[in-house]
This record gives sequence, structure tokens and C-alpha cells, in this order.
Amino acid sequence: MDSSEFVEKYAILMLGVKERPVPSILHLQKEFFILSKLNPRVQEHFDFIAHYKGPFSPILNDVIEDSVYVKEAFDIKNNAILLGNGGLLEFKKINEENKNEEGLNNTLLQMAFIRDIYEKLTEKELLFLIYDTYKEFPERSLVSDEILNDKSVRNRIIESLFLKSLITLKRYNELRERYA
Amino acid sequence: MVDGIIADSTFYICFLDCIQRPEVLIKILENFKPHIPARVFKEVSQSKNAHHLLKKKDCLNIFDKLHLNLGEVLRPFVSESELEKGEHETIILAYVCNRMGFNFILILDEIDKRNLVKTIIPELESKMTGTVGFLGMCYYKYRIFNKEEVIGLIDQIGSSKFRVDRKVIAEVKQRIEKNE
Repeated sequence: MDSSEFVEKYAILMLGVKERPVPSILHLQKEFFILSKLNPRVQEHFDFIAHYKGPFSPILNDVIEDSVYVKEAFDIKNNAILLGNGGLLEFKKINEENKNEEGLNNTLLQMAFIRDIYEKLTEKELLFLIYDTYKEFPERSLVSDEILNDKSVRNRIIESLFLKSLITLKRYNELRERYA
Repeated sequence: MVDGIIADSTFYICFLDCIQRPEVLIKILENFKPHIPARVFKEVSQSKNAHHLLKKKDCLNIFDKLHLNLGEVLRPFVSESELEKGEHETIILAYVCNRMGFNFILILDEIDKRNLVKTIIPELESKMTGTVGFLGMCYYKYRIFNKEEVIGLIDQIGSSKFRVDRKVIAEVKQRIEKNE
């Protein structure tokens, strides 16, 4: 399977595992980035690079905009990404053909867990946490500067994350100290 | 009937060190199957009176390799010190056991971690309690201890170095009195 086909298939699985759209292409990109940390095959095919909005997979972007192997695989509505009619049928087909396959079930469990957590973040919260945790990735840009170097924006994000109970107290203190 | 318990290190250390009642912990572990991440077990093994627990090591379900590297998913949300100690792994283990259909009680004492669980894995909220709350259940729900024993234990915990809100102690004692 070449990388385009792999990425298209995995995008169908990621979007199908929950009965709701992914809020934005940024969320989808970062969710796959996290998945690549769990699964070396994902890193190999998605090939994340440094980008002004953190780790970025060009092939994922291409596949979402224009799927090749499955017609009408994806749809974009108000910035949110969801499965198109073709994607829905393909997701059902993959599940039926691989019902008892441990590998697929494990991948779906990982994807569900990632989506449940990361989709509770706004785009700024998501970017901030990714920039802070995976420092090897962000290219300097107006976006990263605003989030990391603008004290009021940064503090608002940190406070918001803690008030929403999305980070632990130790993590909150760690971030406050780091960016004091 | 509940199959087991998943608890972080504070639960075990409460009985082994804070109130030095290892026999109470052993009695609990004889009635509930304990599922424990390897790093939590390692931390507990270094506490006072740990030899009592080590004698019962065969009763423990120690998860050596945390399922599917899911710990990486939580990395942006917890501090570096928490990651090093594996404090987030109790949450991951609970998530995985829940997906596998295990019936368990999740015992977490730190309020920020409990709030994190409620936010990111809300389906675990109904399974969650703290050490003192669990002791209360050991009387009124599971009849492992009698009323005098459990009130005595709770009072002992309240006077020890174990950190617990006075309000929580009062609420649990009230429930015990009502014999709910």
C-alpha cells in the first residue's frame, strides 16, 4: 500500500470512529501527529514536518482536499471535517471485513481516545500544548509568536486549560513557571 | 459485583505508610482484584511496610507495558514529573479496562486528576471515588468491614499525614451512619 492509500484509509478510520465531525483540519493534523507517536507506521506514511502551525503532514492535507482511492471520502462543512457518503460506506466495509482483527481494533481504540481528548481543546489551546510539548516542531511565525510570546494570550490559554480541568495542577504550575 | 480496583499510589501508601495498617490493605486486595500499572507498583514498593504487599504480589494484576502507548496521548496534559513517575498511567489503565468491559472502582485522591478524568473520560466518573469514599463503600456496600472498624479507619486517616478534605470525611461518615 503506498502512502496516499494508507493516509486515506487512516483518515477514513479516524473520522469514522466517532459519530461527529473533527472540528477543524488543524485538529485532524494534530490528532494524527499524536497517533504517529503511538504508531511508527503512521509517522512513516504521514511524514510530519515542521510548519508554522506545528507538526504538519502535507499528504494528509492533499488527501482530505481530494481523495483518490475512495470517491467522496470526505466532506468539509464550516471548517469541520467529516466522512462523505463514500467514506461512510468504506468505513463500514473496513470494519466488516476486519471485525475480529486485533490490529484494527487497537488502532480504533487509540483514535477514539485521541479524539475524545483533543477535540475538547480550542485551536489556540491545541497549538499551545503541541508547541510546548513537542518543541522540535514549530517554525517561528506570527502564529507561534502570538501563542508563545504574547504574555496575555499565553496566560489566558493556561488559565483556560486549568479551569476546564484539561491539565493537572502540576502541569499548570509547570507552565506558569516556564512562561513566568 | 465489582471485579477489581484501579488505584494510584496514594491509596496504597495510605495504608502502608500513612496509617501503617497493611493488614487492612491486604484484606481489601483479597476482596477486589487490583489492577496496577508497573510504575505505580514500583513507587509503592519503595514505601514503608511494602514488604506486606510484596508478599501478595501474585494477587496483583501488574500492567507492565501500558496498553498501546496510550500514555503518550496524555503527555501534553500532565507535568514532566508526573510523566516520569507514571502518575497518568492509572488513568490510562482505567480507560483501557473500561473499554475491555472490566467492572472496577477507580480510586483517585487528587482532585485535579479526578477533574481531568471527568473532563476527558466522563464515562469513568460513575466508577470513581477517593480512598476514604472507597472505605465507606467497603462497609455499606460490600460489608468487608463492620461499622466500628471503618469509622475507626477513617478517623485514623483523618489524623494522619494523608491529605483529605474534612468535608469528604464528614460526608462519608454521614453515609455510613445512614447505612446506605
